[in-house]
Amino acid sequence: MSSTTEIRGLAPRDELRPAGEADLSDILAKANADGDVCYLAGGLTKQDWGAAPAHLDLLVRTGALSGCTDVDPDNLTLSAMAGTTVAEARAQAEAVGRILPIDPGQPGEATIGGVVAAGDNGPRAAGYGGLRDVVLGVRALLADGSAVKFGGRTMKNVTGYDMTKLFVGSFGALGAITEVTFRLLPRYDSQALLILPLASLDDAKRVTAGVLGSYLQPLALEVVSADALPGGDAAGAGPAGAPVLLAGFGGHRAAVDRSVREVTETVPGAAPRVLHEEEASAMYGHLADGAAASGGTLALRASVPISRTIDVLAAAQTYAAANGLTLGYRAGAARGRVDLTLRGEGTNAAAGADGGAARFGACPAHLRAQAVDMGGSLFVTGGAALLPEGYDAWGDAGGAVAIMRRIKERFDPNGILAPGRFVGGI
Amino acid sequence: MTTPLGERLRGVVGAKNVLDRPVQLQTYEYDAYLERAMPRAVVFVETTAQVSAVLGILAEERVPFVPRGCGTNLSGGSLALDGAVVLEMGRMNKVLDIDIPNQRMTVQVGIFNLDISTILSPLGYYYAPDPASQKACSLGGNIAENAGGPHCFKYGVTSNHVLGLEVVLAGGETVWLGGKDADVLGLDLTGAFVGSEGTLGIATTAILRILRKPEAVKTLLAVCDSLEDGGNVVSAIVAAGLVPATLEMVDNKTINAIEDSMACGFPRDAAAVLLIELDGLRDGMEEMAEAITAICKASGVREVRIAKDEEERQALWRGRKGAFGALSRLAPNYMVADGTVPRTKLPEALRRVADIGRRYDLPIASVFHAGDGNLHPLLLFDSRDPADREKVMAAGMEVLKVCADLGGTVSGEHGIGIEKLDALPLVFTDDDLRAQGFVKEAFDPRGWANPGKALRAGGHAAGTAPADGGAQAVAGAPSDDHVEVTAGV
Repeated sequence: MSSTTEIRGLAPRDELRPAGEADLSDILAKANADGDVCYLAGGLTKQDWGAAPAHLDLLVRTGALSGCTDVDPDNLTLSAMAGTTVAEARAQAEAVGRILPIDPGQPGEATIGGVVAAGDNGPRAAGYGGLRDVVLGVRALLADGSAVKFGGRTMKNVTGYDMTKLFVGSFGALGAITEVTFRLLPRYDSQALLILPLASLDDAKRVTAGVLGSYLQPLALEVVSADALPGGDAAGAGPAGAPVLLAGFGGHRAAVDRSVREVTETVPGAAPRVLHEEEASAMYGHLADGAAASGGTLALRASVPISRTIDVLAAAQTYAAANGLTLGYRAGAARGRVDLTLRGEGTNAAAGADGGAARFGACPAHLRAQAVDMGGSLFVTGGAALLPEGYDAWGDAGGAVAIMRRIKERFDPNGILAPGRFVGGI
Repeated sequence: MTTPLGERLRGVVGAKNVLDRPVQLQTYEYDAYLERAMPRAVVFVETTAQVSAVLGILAEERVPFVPRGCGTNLSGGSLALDGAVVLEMGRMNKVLDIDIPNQRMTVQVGIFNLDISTILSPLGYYYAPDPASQKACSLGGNIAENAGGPHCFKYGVTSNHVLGLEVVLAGGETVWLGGKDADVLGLDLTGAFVGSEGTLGIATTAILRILRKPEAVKTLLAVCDSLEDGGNVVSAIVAAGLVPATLEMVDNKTINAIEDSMACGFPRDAAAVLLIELDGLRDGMEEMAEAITAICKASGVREVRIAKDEEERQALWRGRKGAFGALSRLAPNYMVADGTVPRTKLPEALRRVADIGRRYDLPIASVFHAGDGNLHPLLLFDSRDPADREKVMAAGMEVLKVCADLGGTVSGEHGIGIEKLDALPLVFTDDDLRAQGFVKEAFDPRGWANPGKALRAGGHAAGTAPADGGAQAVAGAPSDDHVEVTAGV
């Protein structure tokens, strides 16, 4: 057989592509009996997120579990098999005049199952809500291959425990997601995305706090470094290294127009640009994707209470300046999500060894300590090669981690669902 | 007469804060469901440390426990089965922190739901979940049941608004789940805890998402000549891309009961009224109200009234939220079948529920969250008549079966409690229930937390005995963990 795909430097013994749910169930049941560690993968867009699995026997690709199984525009729900790409599910929703309210990066490759398992909330989560809010139901296979379903196609459901919440963002630790049902939104009457160069992070803090305290209901409220914008837009940014605000709104045209006007007025003398409809959608896509991963870049994601979002950027800026690193960032100020990239000027992966250890090695723990002080957390989303052996990808989840471990032990007693991959070594 | 257990509990909370004489316990024998069960004792707690100390003692004494808020539970969730001790949470009602810049509020769970928004109102904020019982129910109960309310259609249910919980586990260990940030590290235990009906532990403190009060609100009342017209309006509004904050329907029987008790301005001859509320920026709201009015007219709605001021708006809501109370004029008891269907199936569900009412010769009044597909047919009866009671139980189960058959579920917001344990197999397989048991075991391996609720101990295979308050051990727990029940202790 041809060589298999490596996961974080681990070569699986075999790469399997189950033809459907029954096939996947058989694979899991056998692996569970044999004690073979499985790594479930969709588009492999999140494999650098968090910790690497401790061990790997079988790489199981979900691509064949594909397609939307139910699209109900009047009920505002869509169900899709786990291996369906986000782009495909999104197109199905759009074809019936609805919005699939998820906003992850790489929608052409990322799958529904992978995005839900990774809990990847993008810029528009500010308005859509997070995945935990928009996932109404999950079907999954447990480690022994048995099929389970939780939640359903209704907005409200208190029948049994809210197991869907446990599966969202679980990194596959509890089972293999096979199908997800989402809440849909009606299409907006109008949407606009305001792009506003700012003078400084202080300015960003002031402006975002103003929007958050106002009546406005942003769909997205991103503060990004100029390099996070497509080439043409970076040119219109302010002073080098200064942030750019992207404030998106959707709804009735009059409300959208007023929202854009109100935010613009908070920055006198700025040179705003406003994108509408498809142009705005394209920009959101660009923001969600982030910069293309490169060998010499350390990538981190933090989550903090919303008022501290810009403080994380300031802390990262200080660290980058002190260590001769270049910082890129995309921060969702209405959700407290912060994506950071740090790279050495003109370096690449080869700069690893000593320089990497000194400049990058301390970075996750240093910035994590500050995020934790702010009431949040931080994990590594790329650049593991730049970090020392035994680095902590996730951080400490506190007293709750003991409960998480007991849940993992119950769901996966033989430890075949990529143990070591998730928080607390589960 | 007091007991050694009573003495130990008094040592934690003080002599006046433990009730264990039968006459004192009678008040705690029931909730808003139809069954009764006598607790072994009631303990009034004021701090998380006290809850922890009490649960520590109860674990040593091998006695199960039930947290109790205001007892408005409609599915028997706050009944003390297996000789459980009730922890009365009402005194833990303090606001610990209002954090406007982070849009969060930290409160103890004994606080009344409505008090949260009342306290926030002068600051320009509110807490979105608004169950109809909000004047009389506590946040802790809302968390246990994952309560909904009219505003769920736009804003979601309790679990969408609770981001962190301080929880005391059986045995007394205190642990924080979640926090002030939206995306917490690790498994979403807060999400799993909300809606667990007190069976995983006792939440003592909660971190809530609070929202800026909308700049403008507009409330419309669509007067319908048939329930179908109302259902069509709901579908047409969604299809037009509008997202009102509420889409609530009230049927003719309920309209008249409301008008008899509080005269809120609902037209008595309407087959149904639909309460539609828009909120958000004032810009464009007038046009959206016009668009909805046009949709209503096109769907055959007789008349659309727009509340002209806050007073008229409040009157309409008072009627809607007082509906259950008003219906007690019609019969001594009601049973609410809280099934939910995909909203497109609502008209069919209503037809089949009406059939069930006719077949069992039971009057049914309906109030429902039309936007969410959440039915609340109230089956009216007299619980003093055993035949009536048996009939209503059978009819209620048929309603739930209809909901399950139409692709919905058996509880939208009132919980399983003891009421719907037998309905769980309508929507779950044994494997589904086994997986839920894993969560129970991870939080509460010995089964001390609110025994006999939400999930049947030892599995749900067809034919298992109904929950009868008998001692049951959680699957996997050693058999010597059975609880000795001594009535009245």
